[in-house]
Amino acid sequence: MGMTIAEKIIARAAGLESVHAGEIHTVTLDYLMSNDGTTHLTIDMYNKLRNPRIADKSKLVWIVDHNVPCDSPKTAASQKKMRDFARDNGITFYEGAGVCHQIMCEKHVVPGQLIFGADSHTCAYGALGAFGTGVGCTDYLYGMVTGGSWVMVPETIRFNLTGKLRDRVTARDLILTIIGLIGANGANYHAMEFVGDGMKNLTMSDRISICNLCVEAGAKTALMEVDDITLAYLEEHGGRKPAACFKSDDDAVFEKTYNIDLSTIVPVVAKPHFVDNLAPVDDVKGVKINEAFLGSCNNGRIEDLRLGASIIKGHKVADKVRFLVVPASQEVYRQALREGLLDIFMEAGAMVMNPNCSVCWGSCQGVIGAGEVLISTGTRNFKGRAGDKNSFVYLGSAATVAASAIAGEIVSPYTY
Amino acid sequence: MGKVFRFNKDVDTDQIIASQYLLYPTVEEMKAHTFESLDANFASEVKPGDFVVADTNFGCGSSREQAPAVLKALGVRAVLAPSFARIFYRNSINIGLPAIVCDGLYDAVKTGDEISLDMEKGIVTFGDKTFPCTKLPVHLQKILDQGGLISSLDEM
Repeated sequence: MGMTIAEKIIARAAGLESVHAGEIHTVTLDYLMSNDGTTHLTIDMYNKLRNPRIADKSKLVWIVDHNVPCDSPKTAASQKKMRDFARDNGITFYEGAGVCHQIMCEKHVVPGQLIFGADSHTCAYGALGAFGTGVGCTDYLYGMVTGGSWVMVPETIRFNLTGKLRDRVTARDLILTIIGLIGANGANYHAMEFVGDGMKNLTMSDRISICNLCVEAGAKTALMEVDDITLAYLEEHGGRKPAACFKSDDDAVFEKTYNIDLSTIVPVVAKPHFVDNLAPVDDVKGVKINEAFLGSCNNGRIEDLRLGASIIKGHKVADKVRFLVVPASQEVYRQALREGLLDIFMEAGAMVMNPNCSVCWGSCQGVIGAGEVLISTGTRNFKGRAGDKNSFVYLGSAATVAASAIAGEIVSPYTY
Repeated sequence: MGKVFRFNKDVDTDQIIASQYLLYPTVEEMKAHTFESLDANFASEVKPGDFVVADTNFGCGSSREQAPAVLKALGVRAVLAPSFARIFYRNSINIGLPAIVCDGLYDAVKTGDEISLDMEKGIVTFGDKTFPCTKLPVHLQKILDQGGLISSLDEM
């Protein structure tokens, strides 16, 4: 029986010829990423160990991205703990450089790797042909001390993509549609694998957006094959080379296969308060908004900013609406600056912020109040996610968000 | 025996413990805010030995380990649901908080009911009714029996 990409990556990490779904294996991890959401707790647990030790510090990447700049004395204490430990132990450390998954894609991840991240959207690395999965601080600590962990090999659900996305329809609309189709639990414990002729019509930014959101369908990981687009991205970003390039075998077993024609995808939103609460944008036209957010690990890349800027150019943000534009990394920010995009956003009346998780995280920037409505390219819209427990979050693409910011209500991305 | 606190389906980690509390220095400081947006009285009313009973996909959303950790810190004996989101489930077992797959219990109970759990036999009892629980895979049961994953690190 052939193997899926997920099986091949785990086999490599386990040092085995082959593995199959359902088996449990001990693996060596290629990277262990942690951010300021939980590292302070990991350090406390580490210090309580009888024999605290780090297996391989070169595999650890610590990134302060959630509450940046720091929002409170309590946060400052937690971040100081993380910063000091990283400095004292020679751990690769970023603060203010950008959102963790964007940094990992820009600077670290290569195809074939098995990566634990103490953040649910670690599945994003599938865009680079790597098996990334989210874990909590205990699993992280175990990996830090031993260099490895145990994994159960997941079944794979395959998505065969054909055709091309239409104008102003984005990868965000695609992945939201897929999550709406299979449900918030539809891929629980599974790998979601994306293949097909349509892949060549998806940029690396599109691919990251797709893989990043798979955890919202319950997926353990998301995976894609390595092609010229992947290799070009790696070359542009530090001349990185793959560790291994995997494709699923012709006789690999998939639990289910969905065939999706990209040209049938339309602009959609996820309505409050669930990521799978899908509706075409046209069905929610007219919903008044108080705030709009363009950013996050899902849609804070240069392509998203270009799209948003092309729509808002020459228009103004609606009266009494706050529009926050937050590039996902310093690299994106500087590129946007060079291209004149930030000027376009500011001319329109948007607030351009430093690279961080920002509004998506609901704790540090652009927090919304009781009764307020946010339209966002962030990852989740659970009740209270962006601020007050009685507030409302709609998730949509960069195009839908930019158009809605102008209108002051949710509108189709074709409006301007 | 312990009291049931019943929640619905798709209870996500932002509901269990909201983002603004996660960077507090310790779980002890966070636990007072557990389930705040769903039940403002939960943290003050729950007693050690009580249970959280919920519908499908409990713990979906973020990988924040603070979610099972605050429940454990409040003395919750176990979380029972027909299904759990992956990361929450793994985190729960890792810290020694039993996350037990149990069908039918959610429909049968309401907040305030008293139930008991026999982990060895894998049965929940409510009055004269019993509900079988899915046994954990051997390796996960081992982690739980040890009180969590970290204790195995100290054995090495």
